[in-house]
Amino acid sequence: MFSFARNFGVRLSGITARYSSTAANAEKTNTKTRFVSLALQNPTHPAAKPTYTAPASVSVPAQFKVNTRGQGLMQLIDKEEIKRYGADGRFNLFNKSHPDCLRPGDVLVVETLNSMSADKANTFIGVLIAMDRRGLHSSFTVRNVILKIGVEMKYMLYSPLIKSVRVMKRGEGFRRAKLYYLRDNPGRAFRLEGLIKQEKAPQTKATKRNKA
Amino acid sequence: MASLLSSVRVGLCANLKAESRSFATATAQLIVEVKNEETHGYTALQIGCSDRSEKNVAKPLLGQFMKAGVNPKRKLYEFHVTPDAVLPVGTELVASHFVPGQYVDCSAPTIGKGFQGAMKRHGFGGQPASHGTSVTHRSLGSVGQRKDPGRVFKGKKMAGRMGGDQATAQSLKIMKIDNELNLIYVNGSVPGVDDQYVKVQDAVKKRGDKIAPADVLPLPLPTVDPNLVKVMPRQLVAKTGGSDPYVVKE
Repeated sequence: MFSFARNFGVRLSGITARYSSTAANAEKTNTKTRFVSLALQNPTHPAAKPTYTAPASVSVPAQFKVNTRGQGLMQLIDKEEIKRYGADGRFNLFNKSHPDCLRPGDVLVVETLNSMSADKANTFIGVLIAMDRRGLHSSFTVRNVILKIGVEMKYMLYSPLIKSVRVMKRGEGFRRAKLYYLRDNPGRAFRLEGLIKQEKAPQTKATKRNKA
Repeated sequence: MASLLSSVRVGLCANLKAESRSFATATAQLIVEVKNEETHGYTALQIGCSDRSEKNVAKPLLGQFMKAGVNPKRKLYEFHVTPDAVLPVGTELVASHFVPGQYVDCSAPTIGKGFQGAMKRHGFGGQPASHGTSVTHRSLGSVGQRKDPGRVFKGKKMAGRMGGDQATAQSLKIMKIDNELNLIYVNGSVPGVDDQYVKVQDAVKKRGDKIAPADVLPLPLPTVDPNLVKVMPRQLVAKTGGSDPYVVKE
């Protein structure tokens, strides 16, 4: 595709799109490339300063100001990403000093999307049995017993596929951070039919109103 | 030039794509200055990474740095280039040399595992755990034939030191570039440990138009214009997503 001189025994490594022929082509289509500054195109231009417009395949996310004070590079990156993905307030679900913080034993309603391009949402109701705090990949586990089968769902807190997390009922009397013992000794923890009915009741009332 | 820069592997971080499949990326700090070697029979650029104090640099090496007029560096890499991609000595290379959506190869020494047995080192099967096997559950087994050839061939896979060799992770996509911190976020695993020098180059197996999305080509040939870098936003992310192939279209 591109012609270039191969030196004897020397592997010209990594030469793909950056050949001299490509540079020559770039010069021909000078006005179309973004990487040639205005100063080169038109030296007499008063504001001969290059401008950058992101191409279609590159997105510019919300920019944060760098603050490396008191933290290392990886911590900084983690915090910035949490700020970006937790902008809708889901950071508060794991924030102990916030009243909306989740506690093990809460009964949650989690709505998730199947994919970013579809609008259909799945709902899962269950008891929060574990919260794993890992920065950006923090997760929580929700358990329910559906048709006599125990089902646990693990959700990544900052995943864009999670539409909403709501607390239906606050847990009382759970004295552990991880409620794995509920797998063997559930007691009455998974008697959630009443709550599920409450959840669906307003929906049925709304549909009845629409029909009438 | 097509070559990348020597960079320092900083660590793994989780990242969330639009489809919410998290992948690990290794961020790297970039680059340093450039040296030329044209009277040596081949055209290459010698790039140094990470400053080092003069008192810790050997005198012969220090002489080389002084001749080039640059600060002494910890690590030097050479990249073969075509003559038109040669840069002047002292040029600083930055993260924007790469473009989000581009494919790169990352080379670095692998994590050292020490002296390891054949099962871990070469993936051998070992012997059964029971049924009379005595004391040789994880051993090599046979190493050859009998009187003919009557010897063990050179290169026979056996136990020994594992790791610490150069490995190249090929065709890793650059997901994000940070101009202020000079970081590249690369999709996938990069060999080696944290804070280790990684040689990053344009992907050898993605030739021509396949190295980057079409609207981003041509890649900045000698390197990116520093004035343009000043105007660029701090972070640039390669777009992912689009229509989900797993969603049934009705």
